[in-house]
Amino acid sequence: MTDTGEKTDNAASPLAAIVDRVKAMPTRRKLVLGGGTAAVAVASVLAATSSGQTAFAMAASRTTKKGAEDLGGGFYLVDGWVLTEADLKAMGRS
Amino acid sequence: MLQDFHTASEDALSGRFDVCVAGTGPAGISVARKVAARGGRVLLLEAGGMTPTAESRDVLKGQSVGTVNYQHIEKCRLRYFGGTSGHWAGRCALFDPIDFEDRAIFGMPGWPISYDECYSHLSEACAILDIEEAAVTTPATALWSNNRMRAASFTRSTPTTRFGPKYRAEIEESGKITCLYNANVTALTLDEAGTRIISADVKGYDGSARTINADRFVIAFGAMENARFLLNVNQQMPSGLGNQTDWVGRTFMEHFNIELGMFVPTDTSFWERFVQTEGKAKGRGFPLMPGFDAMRSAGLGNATLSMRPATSVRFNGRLGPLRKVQRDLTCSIDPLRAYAQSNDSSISCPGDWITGNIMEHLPNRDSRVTVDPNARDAFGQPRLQLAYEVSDADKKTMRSLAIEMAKAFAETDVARMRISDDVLQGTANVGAHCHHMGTTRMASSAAYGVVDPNCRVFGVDNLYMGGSSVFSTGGGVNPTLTLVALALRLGDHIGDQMTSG
Repeated sequence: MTDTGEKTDNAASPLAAIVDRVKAMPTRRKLVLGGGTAAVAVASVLAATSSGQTAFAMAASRTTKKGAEDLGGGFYLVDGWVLTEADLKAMGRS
Repeated sequence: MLQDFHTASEDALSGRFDVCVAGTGPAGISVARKVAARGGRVLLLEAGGMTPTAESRDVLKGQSVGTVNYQHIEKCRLRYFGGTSGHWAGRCALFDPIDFEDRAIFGMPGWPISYDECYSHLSEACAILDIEEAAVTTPATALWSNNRMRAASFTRSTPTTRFGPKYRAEIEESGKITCLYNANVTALTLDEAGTRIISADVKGYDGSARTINADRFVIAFGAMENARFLLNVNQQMPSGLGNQTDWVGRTFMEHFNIELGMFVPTDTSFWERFVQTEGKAKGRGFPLMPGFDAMRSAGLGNATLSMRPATSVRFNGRLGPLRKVQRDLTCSIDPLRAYAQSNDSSISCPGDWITGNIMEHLPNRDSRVTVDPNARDAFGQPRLQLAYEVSDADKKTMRSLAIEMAKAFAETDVARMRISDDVLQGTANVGAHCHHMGTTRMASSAAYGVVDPNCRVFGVDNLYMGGSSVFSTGGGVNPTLTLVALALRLGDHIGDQMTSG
């Protein structure tokens, strides 16, 4: 790695800093630690974004009524899920 | 009397028969027994042996040449005594009255007979298939408070009726039915006017050949073979027998077998109650069908929509166990499960349910059986070609039925359903149910079909077609009960013809 602006940018991101440090380690440690870090990061993101939500609740929470296909009669198609207006309201998205 | 055609005595074929029935499946045996019961002398011919043989199976070989690659041309069919009842699953249900209406979605006239006419011999058909009539005629308890869905009524033939074992002794001892196996009908000879069959050429696998005479002929080889037969019997009719208006082989129909999607129960007690009271307790399973109002207003085809727990999903193939571990791991971590399912409509987890179906394939002239003059069977007959086609109207039915089902779940607040991406996009694999129908469809005139309301081939006074090839539309239920009922009706019609001279 050369001493460039890329290193400066990485220093601003904790995750990127970890990646930099892992890159400098021996191969086996790099694999173990890199994999572990990635797993923790993914799990953290998932836990933060979807904890306690069913798949259809996630679908509803990610969209607004405007982003759903209106099927008529108070039903909406959201990521394949057929939801009611009440479902969307309950997610605070109506 | 039951004999091998290869060694059949001269006595077996002497004299004139009132009717020659070719094919010993559910339709052929039902017609033959009915005519015999009316006092007729019947020659019943089976092209295969008493058990499956390689030489007989070879005749079934064909090629899929349509937009949809149909991989069940040979797999679905059996060519030996008893026909496809040898692997029939036994599910019985009635078409709905709405299936007999002239519906715009058909794009052509529907059935020329009424529901009541179709099922005029229902009691007898139920007895043949070893089912209780009330099990198919009594409406299932209505669990749905809206008109979107209705509970289906069906039952199973248990143990499944196998026509070969069930009727072998009766036919052997019959003084009215002469049955020959290894007997392949390879040609029909018309009279000079071209309106009446006077004889049939029959060949065995050992080179033996005879000409037989009968007053009437019934062809009941199954929907694919019925069409191939008529197209190949063209010694005097170059375009094929009964094909003067180019309908033979057309409107080949199957039932689609599609997973519409998965759903998550929001009222677990409802599903437990639904399964226990409407399902297992009555031995019916618990399928739904679209409500008649929804079918009419949305222009939908018919269907039987089944539901089963996702835990029943099987992971087949070499990577099956690995895929199961992957599924179980994903499903065991709630956030991961929610994230994965929100991004992939095909993932279902324990606690989820999935939907399958028997879905109507609308009649379509482009979906058809033809023959390939460059590939021939052991008797020199051109082999079968199948162009299996799924129309835009079919795709609309798939999508709309899935939406109606999902709306019914949400409206009653018992579940939320996610429809598969490929169903929404019209790219779903349509699968197969081995329900071959419609290749010699029934119509009020030759302008829209091959046989008249009595199953008689237009233009030929004494030639009839038996089996589901005469279905004008395919409905949304298994076809066996209906085809047996129609075969009995045909047998009675022939009995009436004999009586009237």
